Amino acid sequence: MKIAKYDFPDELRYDATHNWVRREGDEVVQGMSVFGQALAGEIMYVEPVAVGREVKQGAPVLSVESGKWVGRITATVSGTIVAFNSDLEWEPVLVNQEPYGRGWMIRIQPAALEEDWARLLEAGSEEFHALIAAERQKYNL
Amino acid sequence: MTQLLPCYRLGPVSWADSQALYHAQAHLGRPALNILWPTEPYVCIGRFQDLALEVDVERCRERGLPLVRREVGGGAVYLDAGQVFYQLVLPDRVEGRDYRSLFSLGLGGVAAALRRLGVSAVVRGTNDVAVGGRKISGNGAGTVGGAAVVVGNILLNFDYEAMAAVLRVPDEKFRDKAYQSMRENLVSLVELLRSASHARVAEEMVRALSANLAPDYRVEVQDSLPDDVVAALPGTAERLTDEQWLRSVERRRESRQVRIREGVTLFENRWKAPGGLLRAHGGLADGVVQWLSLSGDFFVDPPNGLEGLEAALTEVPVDRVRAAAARFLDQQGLTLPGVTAEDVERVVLGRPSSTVAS
Repeated sequence: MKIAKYDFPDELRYDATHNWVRREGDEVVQGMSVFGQALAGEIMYVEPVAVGREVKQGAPVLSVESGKWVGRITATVSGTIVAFNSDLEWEPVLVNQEPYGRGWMIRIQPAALEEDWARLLEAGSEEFHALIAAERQKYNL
Repeated sequence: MTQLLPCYRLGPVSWADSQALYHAQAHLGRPALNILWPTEPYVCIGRFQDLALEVDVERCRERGLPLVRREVGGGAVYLDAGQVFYQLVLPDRVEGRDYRSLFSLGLGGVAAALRRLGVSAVVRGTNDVAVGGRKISGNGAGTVGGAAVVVGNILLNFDYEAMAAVLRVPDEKFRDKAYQSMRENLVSLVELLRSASHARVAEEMVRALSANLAPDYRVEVQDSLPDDVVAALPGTAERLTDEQWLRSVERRRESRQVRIREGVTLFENRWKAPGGLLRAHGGLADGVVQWLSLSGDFFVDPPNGLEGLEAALTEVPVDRVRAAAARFLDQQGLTLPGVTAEDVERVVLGRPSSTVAS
């Protein structure tokens, strides 16, 4: 689905801080949405995350740097980190270039996927459209 | 609703406290506006910089310059009493990735303070304040502990030589270029206003930042720092200067940029082409290659062919580097096996030409 010029694949879910999450078997993959990377600008660094670390939905999991700003990325679901995209250590700009592909950030083994999934937003939902509309107005995007 | 924001006009403080203070306040959840300057010089690197790649550690030791890694973004900086700092520690109610708003709280105040001093300063890009196109204030931001932090300075009397001296450089030409570029693109307040003083700058920063923070915050100057903040300073300074913390980031990226001001950078890149390792360092200004030095482990015939390639790419806009390289490589008589125009573009730009999705 497109909202203005921003692409939000229908099969993904999204959170309010512009992360996306995709189900793959019994795991999920998380990254930054095309709108999130447009807001952040060129990503200069993605902090590696240790495999095996436990994370909570909505809690910080790693930091990124763009344009002299260091900000936090939160986990889209609770669970255990099973992989970090080490390509980002060499090419953090993959987050900008291929946000839904090679720019993925982390893979999580969820602890309570169905509950967490229900709290995430669908691209076609009114709530998600309202969120993007408000953000576009706020940031003049 | 208006929130009280304590302001600490501290004047001169030790180099260690000049960094430890806002970190301690952020981790303790103590919102604040600090105005201060360090009594001794030191070198401070950004949260995710690789110390060994950015700073000539040996030179810093020779010059007796302490090293600090801060928790906010940006590049390596030489800091001393010739700069007046502001440090804004705010509740982290800044949602999502609203870093532009965070920067504007600080930068808008800095620009207004300079205008009150009689200098026509403007906010340039997201995180510079400039006068006549030259940067007069450097700034960085980040989420620290539970706080949103933006910190920066006004260059009162910047030591260009000291800044150039502490950068790690591939060769002395790069250092000379860095020095020249800073001379051309930065400006100190004393160059514009002979009467500028620490006290006057500090006074106007408090006034202008207070106005810029209203109505969300009401800035109130305090007599002294809270006890818990004072107690936390030594431990915080120790943590920020700990050798393990200083060396906690090892960048694997094959490119490095030294940002002089918005739109002006020096770069040092590597790229492994099929024909061998390419290295490039040079300067970009407003999207145009200003100067370029190429080297590496690959075959080139004639041996001086690289000089021609460097010349062919100088003063070329970055979006035309690949085409200019292709024209040059197509020339008869130049053999550069396993190196394409795309490889040359990659090593000059440090990345593919089209990077940010829209």
